[in-house]
Amino acid sequence: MTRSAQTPAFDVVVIGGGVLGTAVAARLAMTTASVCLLEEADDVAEGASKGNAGIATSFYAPPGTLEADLIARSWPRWEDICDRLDVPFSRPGALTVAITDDQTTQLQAICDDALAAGTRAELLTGAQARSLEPMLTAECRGAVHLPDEGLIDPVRLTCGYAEIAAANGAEIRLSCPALGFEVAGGLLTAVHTPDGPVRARWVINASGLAGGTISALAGGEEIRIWPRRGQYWVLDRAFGEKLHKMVLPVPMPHSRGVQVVPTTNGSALLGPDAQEITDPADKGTDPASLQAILRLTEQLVPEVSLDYAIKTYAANRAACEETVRVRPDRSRRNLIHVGNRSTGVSASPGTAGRVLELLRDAGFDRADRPDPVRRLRKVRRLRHDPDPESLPDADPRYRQVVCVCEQVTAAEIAAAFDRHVPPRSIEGIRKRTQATGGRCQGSVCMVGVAFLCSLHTGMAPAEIRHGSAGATLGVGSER
Amino acid sequence: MAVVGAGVAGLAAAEELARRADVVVLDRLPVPGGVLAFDMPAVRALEQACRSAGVRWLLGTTAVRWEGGRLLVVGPGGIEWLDAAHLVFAGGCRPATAAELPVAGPRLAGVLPAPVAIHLAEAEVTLGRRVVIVGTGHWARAAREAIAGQRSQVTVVAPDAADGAAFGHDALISGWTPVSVSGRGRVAALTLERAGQQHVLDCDAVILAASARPLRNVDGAVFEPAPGVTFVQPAAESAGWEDVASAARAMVSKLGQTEVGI
Repeated sequence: MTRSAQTPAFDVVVIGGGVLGTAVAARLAMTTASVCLLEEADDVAEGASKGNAGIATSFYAPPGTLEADLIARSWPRWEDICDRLDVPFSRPGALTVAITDDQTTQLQAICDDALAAGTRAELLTGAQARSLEPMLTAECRGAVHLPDEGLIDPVRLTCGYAEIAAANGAEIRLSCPALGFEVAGGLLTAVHTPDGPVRARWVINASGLAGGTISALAGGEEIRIWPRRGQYWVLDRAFGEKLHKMVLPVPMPHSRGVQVVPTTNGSALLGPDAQEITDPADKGTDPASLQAILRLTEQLVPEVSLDYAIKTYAANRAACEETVRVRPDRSRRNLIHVGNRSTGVSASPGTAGRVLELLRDAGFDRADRPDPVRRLRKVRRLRHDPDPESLPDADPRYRQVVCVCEQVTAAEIAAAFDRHVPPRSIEGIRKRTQATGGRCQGSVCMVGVAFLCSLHTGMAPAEIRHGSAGATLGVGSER
Repeated sequence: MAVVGAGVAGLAAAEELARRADVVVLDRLPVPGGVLAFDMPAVRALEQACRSAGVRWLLGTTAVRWEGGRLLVVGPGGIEWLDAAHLVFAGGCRPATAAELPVAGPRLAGVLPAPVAIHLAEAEVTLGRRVVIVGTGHWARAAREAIAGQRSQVTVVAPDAADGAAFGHDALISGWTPVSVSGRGRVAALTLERAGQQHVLDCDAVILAASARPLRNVDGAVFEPAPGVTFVQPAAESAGWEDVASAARAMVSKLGQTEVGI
């Protein structure tokens, strides 16, 4: 008798702890189904869900496409979702900016498509666009204004989905890659992991760049997915807080182009570019690409300057001919593929709803629970709290500032650990609190953050991991 | 007036200003001295001079936000807005970040700002077996000293060819500029460039200790000009404390009567 035969099966096993996998797990955990999420890395949001611009778009794809449908089902809901999951969100709107004659002629079609997709859109002259965004270049010939475009913290969103899934009973297994599958009667019955088999009635393949590999391991169809690397500059909030709008170029066939966008924490991003690469683990920036991004963004917003540069990063989108995938496998009928090249964050609520519909169409009979956990406890944050003087009454640890640049206190770091899916590294703490992510990049606070990590996890300082790739701060101890 | 930073520059500025104004000195550490030891005679003398001049202290207290006329401070006594006619910011300096140098590449473990490397070494964390220190100034020397007891092979990279020599037996690479790090999870190499040529240094730790620049982390007092703020951060990499103190005094002596609120 195999071990898998002894363990009870989950109704659904989700492979992948990115924004889509966690969104699906969060939705399914609100039904009476038993749900298990497997993530290879030691934290959620470690792939493209971490390294994107955090745009919650209202319009991206032509009307009538699956992508347009998923986005249309998602964007009106952000205020509600982000309020419940304690995720930073705002809706500043975007300007798609034309500088050349050729770009100017494309604006009308973009505007018409956006209106047809059901979002608001207006065609502006260059002067009108500059009145909405005074930092815009004087070369602007015209623009499409999309007022419903939103900004979101994509990492906090992913963590929020994982947390609400766990609060509703889903098992979140980190550092737990899917290594293979058991099959009986043409259906998947279990997922092999280093911890043993995880039995499953349904399997959701939401593994991003690994989506093709997982499908092959499952005996499913061939899906070719490759890494498309995007690089970014992060600029200080002294610059970002002057931006009123996201500023985008007229899109190109394979990418939305290099943008200047504010973020929910006040900083600004320049990027991403798009490079087809072969190694999905290659997340390096390179000087030439970073310079190219700077030059392209200067054309949109001349005030862009490296005097404000805080850091650079790169992330790999999961490029695929089938840009958006939410459908059963053609041969393995209890395997559902979920993937999205560009709009994973923006389409995540709609995608989760679509997966539940697919399951129900196929006979999945788990009803919604009458009273699931729908809301996470809000963490008050020194930098954003309207009444900072009262914070120590709630928790005396607010009196201890750990990261000065981002104004993160010991109370906020403690709150990050007091979760079902806590951080496990300095990077995990940064993702949840911004600590070490500011102007000085941890020069002042990284030791304090490491100490708190040590305090909350019981690990010695030499064992504290810097990132979730598993590498520790040092290589050992002199003790 | 509020003086943020009780290092040599902050103390000297506070003493100078206290002759003309009501001065409070804040520091996130519970003792004065900044990067110098609080019991150094020079620090003790400056502290005593401040006390004689009537300076008040708010130590162990972090200033986080300046909104023209008031400063949000966080400390053992709680979180409060401190009214101040003018902010003198004396936050010292820090080495340049990877983005500021700029050094490209992925985010990797083992790439550490010098102040972090120094603290970790003091906590007996072995930083690496093959350590590269980028820079030759104050932070580089302090980091070299902090890892002296670790059995590491150390290479010093001095972007300016004129620098270096102060590192004894360490390998010194002068005139090369670091451009990128590479590795998987942990840093495995630092790539240097000179006149279009590249040189790859294998390593498992990179300590960023170059291009000291002012540490600015109080919102509203980051970029110049900042209304109501005077920056007193004269600490060039090699300046001795006497130079820093006299430069700080000179920088605040220009503050007019409007700023000091007389």
